[in-house]
Formats: sequence, structure tokens, C-alpha cells
Amino acid sequence: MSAPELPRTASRGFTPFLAFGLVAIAAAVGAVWELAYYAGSSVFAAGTLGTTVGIVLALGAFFVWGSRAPPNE
Amino acid sequence: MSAGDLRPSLTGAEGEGVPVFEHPPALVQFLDATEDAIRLRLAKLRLFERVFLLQRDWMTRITMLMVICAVLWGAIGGFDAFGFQTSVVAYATQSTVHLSNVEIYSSITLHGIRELFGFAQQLEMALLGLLVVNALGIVPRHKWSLYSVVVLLNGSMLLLQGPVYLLPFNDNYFPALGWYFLSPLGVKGQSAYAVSPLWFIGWLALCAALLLWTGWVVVHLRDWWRQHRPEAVGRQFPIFLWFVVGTLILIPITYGPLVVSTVWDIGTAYAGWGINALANQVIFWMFGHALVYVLFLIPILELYFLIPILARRPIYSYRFAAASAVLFVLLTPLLGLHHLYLTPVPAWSTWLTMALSFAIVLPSAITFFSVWMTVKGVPAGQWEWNAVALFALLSFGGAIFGGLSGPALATIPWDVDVHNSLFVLGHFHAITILSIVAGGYALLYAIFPILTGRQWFSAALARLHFLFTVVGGVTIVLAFEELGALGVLRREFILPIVPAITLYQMILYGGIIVILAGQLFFVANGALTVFRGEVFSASGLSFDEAVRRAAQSTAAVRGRVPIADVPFTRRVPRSRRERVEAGWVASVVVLLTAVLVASTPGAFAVGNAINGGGPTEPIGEYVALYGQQYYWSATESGSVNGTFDNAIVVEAGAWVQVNLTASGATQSLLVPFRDQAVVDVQAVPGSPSYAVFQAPSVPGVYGAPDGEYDGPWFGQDVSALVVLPPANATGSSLAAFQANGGGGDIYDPPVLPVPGANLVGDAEGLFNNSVPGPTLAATVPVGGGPVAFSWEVPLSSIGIDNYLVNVTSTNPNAQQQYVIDHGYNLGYPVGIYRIDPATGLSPVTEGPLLVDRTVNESAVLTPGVYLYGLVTPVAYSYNPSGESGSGTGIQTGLVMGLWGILWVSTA
Repeated sequence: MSAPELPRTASRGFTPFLAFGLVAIAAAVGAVWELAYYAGSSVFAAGTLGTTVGIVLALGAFFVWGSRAPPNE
Repeated sequence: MSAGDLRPSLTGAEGEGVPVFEHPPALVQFLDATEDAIRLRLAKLRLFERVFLLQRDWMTRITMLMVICAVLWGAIGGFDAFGFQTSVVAYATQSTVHLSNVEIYSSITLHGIRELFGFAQQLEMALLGLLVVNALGIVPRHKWSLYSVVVLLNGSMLLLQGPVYLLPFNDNYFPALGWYFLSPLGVKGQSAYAVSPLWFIGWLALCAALLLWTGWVVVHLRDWWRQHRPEAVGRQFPIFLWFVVGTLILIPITYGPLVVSTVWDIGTAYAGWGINALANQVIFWMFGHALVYVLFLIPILELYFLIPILARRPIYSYRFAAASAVLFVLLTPLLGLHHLYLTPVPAWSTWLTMALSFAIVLPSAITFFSVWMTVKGVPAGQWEWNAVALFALLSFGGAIFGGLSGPALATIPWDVDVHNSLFVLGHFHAITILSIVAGGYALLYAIFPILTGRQWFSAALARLHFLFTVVGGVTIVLAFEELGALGVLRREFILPIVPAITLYQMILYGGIIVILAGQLFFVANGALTVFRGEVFSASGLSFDEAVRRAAQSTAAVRGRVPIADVPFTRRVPRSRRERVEAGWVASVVVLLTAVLVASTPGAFAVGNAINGGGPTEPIGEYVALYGQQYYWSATESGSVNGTFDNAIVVEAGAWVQVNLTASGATQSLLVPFRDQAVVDVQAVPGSPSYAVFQAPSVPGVYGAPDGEYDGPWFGQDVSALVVLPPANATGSSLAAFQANGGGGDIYDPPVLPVPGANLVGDAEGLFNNSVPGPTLAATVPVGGGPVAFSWEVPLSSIGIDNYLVNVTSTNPNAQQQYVIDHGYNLGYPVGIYRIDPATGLSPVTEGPLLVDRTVNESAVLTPGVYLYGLVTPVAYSYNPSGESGSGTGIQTGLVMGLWGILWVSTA
């Protein structure tokens, strides 16, 4: 079966990259919101703040590297 | 892959391929003949022929059978959760609870077992077996080995349910343990609650099923390798095969320890072997945690399998993806100890496990990045949002959402706050529902048409299924996490009746109903597909094209995106892609290292304290705490002296050293403060542990539930940390305690003023649905004065779940008849008992426990703190018609719940 090669040009609209990115953001925001309760507590912060900050920074790195990465072409 | 790859599961598994034997053994011939006779007879019925694909090849038939069994167990397991939560909500709203305690706790146990093994594990085996056969073009062999797997696995589900008496009907021998059973709970001779031997046989049957299936797949891979070695060497296999192989390696590593742990329990129960509960738990959790990753490889494998097919381009970085498979396999077996952070294992070992638990973030991080980058550059018009893509998206997001709370739980000083709380279940259900189940459904939507030869009947039903699964799943997870943040324990059926808990329990209940309703859409669509779906043909299609066509039958608009393979030429060199991926991985490594360094002091502080190396503050109170099923016995010396059942009495602000031992089951001293440091240390039988903490500075009555499930009377197993005013402030009121919210401890019993307090016993043998009962606050003159309150245990509260009447019968009226026959007098002593810091408890008033009578309790009391009610445990033994025993199960114990604290302050 022959078929034309996949289009390479940048796509407008709701691309799967955008969809997966938005879902990742939603998941990250939801998770961090839950963790923030502990990190924001004066009692729990000592044991939890380091991990929470690490997670937030990792999420930042995830989206920075993801946006900078070349496309899968 | 060629179209021919699809043939084996569709047509080629009836022996036309490579024969195993020229003349099969007589047993195999007999089984084949019997199966054919039954199958052809059943196939005359359209229902069976269509549902079980009886006219198809044996590999397809068995796979379909496993899928159907998996869905069936999933449905039953879902209703188990529904039954448990119905009981929780009924108790919280003070409605009638229709299940017995054993049934309630069994339902949550069986929920876990049926969902994890009957559903998820079986579905994984069914789909992976089919994928391997199809992907490699293997002609399947050893039919009866695969049939044996099905029989063993589903038989194990029946065995794990335990015995049921049909006449007279009695199902109270269901196993009220945990799917994560903790030795010695349930082991005859070691525990007050002992399960039937069927439980242990069931676990062994499950292990046999998994190991046999692994062997079955390995044999096929070996044979394939022997036949294709020349062309296979140097070939780049589909990336998902790495994860299939990883699963095959992990299963024996996972289930092997379960065999050891189970055999040890069997030997202890029935052959007089010695037991080391802590060592047994360590071995068990080598299984318990690795299992999660065996199942988590479903969505991981699904993403690596489906996303490149749907995107019609290869994975972003093959080498990084393969590295993640290797890392998953290497790290998974090493993490079990992070379930035992609060037990007396060496601090270095828990620290090492914490470090390794952080390390397993790496393969997940690689996977999320690789999957996301794989779709980067895919035009919107070339991507179809069918059910396969939607569930893949959900499994991707769910894995991130659930995965991010993993490092939190793995951080030892954080785990102290959330250990065994519903926060853990929030993490766990985010992974299971939103990632594992979602991944399984993505695969099912992609494979089912290939399996059945029919396209999905309804895209609308598939979307409704997706929508309800998302809404229900997210609701469940958020409700669990909110309840966990409040400090609520997992597996608790009797919870403090406070608005916040009741609200989130209702929301949780709603989430369960929504997700169960959503699965009905899936079942309906599956049934309609096999009966009325359009014929699905893979003829002329490649494997990938067949998957896309199957997926397209769940799209709102079919045919919008072509399914044909297209040539793909790399334009972005590997070095560029891998440079970015390496940068991402390096970022994660740096951050993980920083978090590990930051968490290390706290981790060692926790570990050392449990092993007796706690803070070196001047100790004001020494407590020897002995955990039994189902109460603590506290023997104290220091500023308070004496022996108390279920009460730990200390002076405000004193440093307290607790030496913990236990028998019968692992227990946990937990005081779930939210305004000050949580106290949480486990007591494992045979392994002493220690806690050093400073008592709250505010006098009051703080709830201290047993933090570890220990059998069917777990709900009653709540003690009190009674914090007395300093000696020079005797007579101070509870005003400050109430003003500061009792340290935020949600388990604090409510405070009721005296006079006016009316205590009423409930069906669980508690006063006013609270354990301990409400704290009664009375005021008297400095020199003392009269205090009066009333209590009643209604006859209607007496039943099978009320431990106060030790009569077990299948007759539902037997308990009340016993009360009537004994003149409404149960004989147990109840009264008011003074806590004297110098000598302990001494009775002020005492009389027999009367039922269905309003008893006015009154005495002249001096300012101080008192216990009221039935302040010693009651022996309980469940044995209707002599049915209990080592063959069916034993449920005994010492239960205490009809008691509370009377706080007398100066006016």
C-alpha cells in the first residue's frame, strides 16, 4: 500500500503535542496542589518542603526541555 | 510488521503450525476431545458462540476467556468497593449498616485482590500474550498450559474468598485481612483472627498461574529466537517488546517472595514452624511493591506500543526508552522496604530504600518525556481522538498525577505524616485507575476488534465510558487525598462523624458510583460489538494499520484520518534528540540528588528514633505499650503511674518515651496531629520499637487510632492520649483544648457538657457513634461537687456487630434473645473511675452493664480526670453452630469501645 509521506510543516490547531502538554500541566497542577497542603504547613514543612520544591523544579524542567526539544521528525 | 503477523491469533492456533508432538499424550488427546465436544455443543447457542468466540482458534478463545474473566472480576471488585463505601457512608450518616464487620473488611480486602489480580493482572497476561504472538508472528503452542493458567488464576480468586456455608447461609468467613496481608495477622496460632487455609492455598495458586504463564511466554520467545536468530540479530525490536521482556523478568522476582512468605505462614500455622513477623513482612513487600510495577508496566507498555502507531512515527529516542525498561527492571525489586519505614528495621536500610525509591523516578521521567516528544510535530489533522487515543492520554496524565505523589510518600519524614492514611490510597488509586486501568482500556479498545473480528459497535458508548472513568476516577483520587490530609486512616469503617470527613466520604461514594456506571457503558459496548458489530478484517493490513483501524471504530467520525502506514524519514538527527533527552534526565538526576540530601537528616532521625535512638530530652513519662487485638495496654511510670487499657495518660508538655511491643498483629501508635508533629510508630510482634515525643502543652483528650489494620474489630481499636494539666493546675477546663481544635487531630472525641449529656450505645458497641465516647466536661467547686449524666444501651443496638453480647449465631435475633434471657443484665462492670497520677485507676462508682435501661450515673467528684463506661476490654469469639475452626477461620479478640473520658474542672 502506498501513501504520501507525512506532512512535516508546523501544524496549527489542537495538536497531540499540545493535548499531551495540557494534560501534563493539569496533572502537575493537581498533584502539586495536593502536596502544597503539607509544604505549606508549619508543622509538616520540615519533612516535606524539600521534596515538594524538587518536584516543582522538575516539572519546570520537564516543560522547558519539552518546549525546546526538536520535533520527532 | 506484515499482515501475516496477525494470522496466529485469528486462524493459526489449531495446530497447523509447528506440532509439539507427532502423537500427543493420551491426556492431551482426552482433553482436546473433551474440549471440542463441549465447545461444539455450546457453540450451537449463539450467546456462547459469539461471546466466547467458540468457533475461533484456541489462542483467541483463551484470550477472550481471560478478558471476560478479567472484566467479571473487575466488576465484582468494583461492587466490593461499593459495598464497603456504602457501609462507611451508612455509619457516617447514622443509618443502618447492612453488612457485618467481617463482610465489610472482607469486601475491601477482596476489592483489592479482585481488581489487582483477577482484573488487572489477568488482563495484562491476556493482552501481552496476544501481542507477543502477533508481533513476532508466533504460532502458539502448549494450549493446556495456557488453559491451566486460566484455571489456576481464576481458581485462586475463588480460594481467596474463603469458605461460605450455604445451609444455613453464612459468609462470615470471608477474609477480613488486607490484600497486603501482614504476618502474623490471620495466621492460626499467632493471631486472634485466623483465616481459612484456603487463603494461603489461593495465594499459591495465584503464584503458580503467574509463573506458569511466564514460562509459557518464555518458551515461545525461546523457540522464536531459535528459528529467527540469523535475521533477528542486530534488528531493532518494537520498543514495547522491551517492556514485555521486563514484565517476564519481574514476574518471577515478584511472585517468588510471595511463595516464600506464604509457605512460611502455612508452616507456622499448620506445622509448628517459628515465625519472624518482621522478616516475613520484608519478604512479603518484596512482592507487594514489585507487583505495582508489574501492573504499572501495562500503561508504560501501552504508551510505547500505541503512541508510535497512532502518531505514525517511531518513538522519540529508542535508546532512552530501552534504558527506561532496564531501569524499571533493575530498581523495582528493591523498593519493598519503603512500606515498612515505621517498623524497627535499620535506619540505613530505610534511607537506602528512600534513595532507590527516588531513583525509580528516572525511568518514569524518561517515559513521560519520550512519549510526549514522540507526538511533537504530529499535525492536528493527522491525529484522531478515538477512544484508544483518549485512554492513552488519560494513562499518560494519570501516571504523572499519581506518580508525583510517589516521591512524597517515599520521603521518610513525610511518610510519618501520611503513612497508612487515605493519602496513600489517593496516590495508589491515581496510579491504578487513572493510569493502569486507563492503559488497559486503551489496549483493549485497540485489540478487541482484532480479537473478536468485529469493529466496536458504538463510538458514543466508548466516549461515555471514557468520560465517566475520568470523572469518577479523579473524584475518587481527590476525595482520598483530602481525607488523607485530614489524617484519616485507610481501611477504617468507623470514622469520626464530623462534617469534613462525612462530606469527602460522600464525594468518594459519588465517585465510586460514577466510575461503576461508566463501566456499564464499556460492558454494553463490548456485548453489542460481539453481537452486532460490523465485521472487522485485517486482511491486507499491517499490524499497525490493523490497530489503527480498530481504534478508528471508536472515533466520532470514521475515516477522517487515514490508517495507512506512511514512509518516515528522519530529519532530526538522533544526536539532537538525545541531547535534549539527556538534558532532561540530567536535570532529574540533579534534583533527585538534592532532594535526597535534603531529606537525609529527617530520614535518619525517624529511623533512629524507632530503633531506640530518639531525642535525648529529659523524660517525664515512661510508657510500656503492649498492643493486642484490639486494644493497647499501657503501663506507666513517671509523673503518672499505673496501668490503663486504651489510654495513655501523660502530663502536659512532658517528654514521653514509649516502648512498644505487640502480639497477634502489627499495630501502630498513631496520634494524627495536624498542628504539631505526628506520632506514628509501628509495633511488629517480636520486634520492639520506640517512640519519644513531647506531649501537647494543652491539656485534653486526643484521639489515637491504631494506625495499622489488625482484624475485624479494627474500627473499635482507638485509644486516647489523655493529657493532664500540670500538677499545679488540676481542675483546669477543656476550653483551651477546644479553642485550638485539639491539635487538629480529627480523631479527638467530641466534647459534651455535663449535665445534659445523654450517652446512647450504637450497633458497634460505642457511645454516640464515637470511640472513645464523647469527652464529658463537668464543672464542680474547688472542693468537689455532684456530677450526673445518663447512658443507655438500647436493645435495638444489640446484634452480630456488637461485641458486648458474645453470642454468635446465624439466627439474627439470637443476641437480643440472650439479653432478654439474662434479665437485660450483661454483667460487665461499668462506672466512673478516677485517674490518680500516683496510683492509676480507682473506681468511684461501679455497677453491671444493663441493656435497654436508662442509667443515671451520679457521684460527688473532685476536680480531675476520670474514665467512664466499660474501661476494660471484652472477650469476643465468633463461633456460630460450632462452625469456626482452623478449617474455616477463627475470630476472637479483646474489644473495647463503650468508654470515654470525664473531665471535671473547677467552676
